[in-house]
Amino acid sequence: MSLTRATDEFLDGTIDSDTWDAKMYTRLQRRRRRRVITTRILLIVVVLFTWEMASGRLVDEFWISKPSAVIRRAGTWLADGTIAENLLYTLQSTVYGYVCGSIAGIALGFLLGRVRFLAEVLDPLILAVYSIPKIALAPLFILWFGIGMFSKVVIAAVTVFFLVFYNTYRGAREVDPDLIDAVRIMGGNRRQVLLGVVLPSSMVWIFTGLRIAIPYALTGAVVGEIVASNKGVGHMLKVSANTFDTTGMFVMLGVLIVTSSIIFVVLNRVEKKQSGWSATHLHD
Amino acid sequence: MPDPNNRPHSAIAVTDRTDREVVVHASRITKRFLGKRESINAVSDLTVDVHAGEFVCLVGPSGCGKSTLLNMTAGLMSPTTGVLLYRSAPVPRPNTKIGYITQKDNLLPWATVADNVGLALKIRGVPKNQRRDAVERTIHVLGLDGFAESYPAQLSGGMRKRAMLGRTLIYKPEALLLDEPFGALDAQLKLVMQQELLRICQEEKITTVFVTHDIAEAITLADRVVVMSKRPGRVKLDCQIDIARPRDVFGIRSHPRFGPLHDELWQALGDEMLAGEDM
Repeated sequence: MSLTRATDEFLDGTIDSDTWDAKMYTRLQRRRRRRVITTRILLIVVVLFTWEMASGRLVDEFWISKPSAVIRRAGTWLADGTIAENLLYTLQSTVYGYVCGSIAGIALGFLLGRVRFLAEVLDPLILAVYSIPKIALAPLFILWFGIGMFSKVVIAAVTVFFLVFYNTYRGAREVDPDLIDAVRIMGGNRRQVLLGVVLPSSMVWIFTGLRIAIPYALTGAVVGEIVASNKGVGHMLKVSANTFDTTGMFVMLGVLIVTSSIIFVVLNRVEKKQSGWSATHLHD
Repeated sequence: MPDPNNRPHSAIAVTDRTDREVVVHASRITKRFLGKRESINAVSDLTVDVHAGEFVCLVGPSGCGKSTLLNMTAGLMSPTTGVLLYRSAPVPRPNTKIGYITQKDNLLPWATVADNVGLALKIRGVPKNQRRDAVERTIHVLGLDGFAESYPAQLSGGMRKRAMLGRTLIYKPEALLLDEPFGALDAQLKLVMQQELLRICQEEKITTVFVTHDIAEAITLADRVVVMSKRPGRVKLDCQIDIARPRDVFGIRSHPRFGPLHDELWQALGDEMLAGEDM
């Protein structure tokens, strides 16, 4: 309908051919997008419906639960605060771990990036620790730091640390030495070179590390909770599994899906805004 | 101390400054770069003096160690053997008395033109309002009005060079080292920049060492042109440019001394050029 209107306008001479092209283009894009979304929703509905129908008929409900039960349970747990309480706990460990791991990663990345000798000594050792699957460290941390939140914070922090560390390290190493020389000739001292040249020039790398580390912080916290905990989404997953409560497991998996999706969407938004980022101001 | 071998032999010195203080004194310096397979001597047994207020151009084939000499004067590297003195003292650390304009753009890419130009004053702890005034003035002098808030990536090559010149001149260095600063500019802009540089150096009485490939540029700018041999670089010819100042960069080619000087320098460079990949 709107397509024909644009065509009419074009034929009337109210709009030129470029405007007509542009209008056609956006309309076709929008139409395409609508089709994609409609199909996507349809697909989800079909899957859920098939699941619902299959449950108890083709497959025992004990194994796969069913969507209606999952939604009902989610409602109960939302109402009695089970989801809120456990999610909050998990997010808390995630955030603490993320902040601690990031700070440590930036600090050590910077240090090793600038002190070449130290980097050469430590590099293979750090790589060795980095190459361990972080889950393998979880039992040790729980032994050391107990089943409380602290051990989850440590696991999340360690996961985050390496990602931020390697990016900062790389960024600090790849600073253009000519820029450093220029500032030193102007009379810049060590500190001014570090804050005025090395830091801003590593910023892009550091941001990249910080961004990719966020979902890993959540993973670290949940893994810690699965190994040993008395609270949190991971704990609930494990408890449900131990009591053969597939419905409970699906609810908690749903909670994780929603949480990490929100994180991704927010990150993408921030990233898009930041793509215009080209400068930070010099620090005195 | 002045080396007797380097005294000009041909020309009558119009701006002879040999009686003045020696600012850069290089005596029999050699710079050896160690490599895995082979080590090379960038300069070998090089002796050259630059006096206060003098404008010296270094000309020579690629890789003859012109930039190495500037880097040593700037305190970014030290000679392997020999002595390099800046105002009678060695330069073990970056030399903050000089301004160094390198061939490569090295403005801070994340800072605006104004921030780049004001950087040296900020480092030196000049108060903000004074700094702002100086930056404004410098930006105006260099014809960068309206670009104060632009980032280097948004500027043309010529404007970036001007910004580099501005950020160096703003702290009034007593000596200026320039490494083919106008090499990448188009012919017209090059002349404009040369005129500007001559004016500033004359007004501020800055001692200048200017590296170039271009003989015409060297004659236009310099009091003295030092021709270096191919690697490892030595002084092949030390030639006084007897053309009075102030000079007009647009008309200097028609000066009666321009042709003979050009020929003399060409001749000295001739054999060396065959060895270098470009001139």
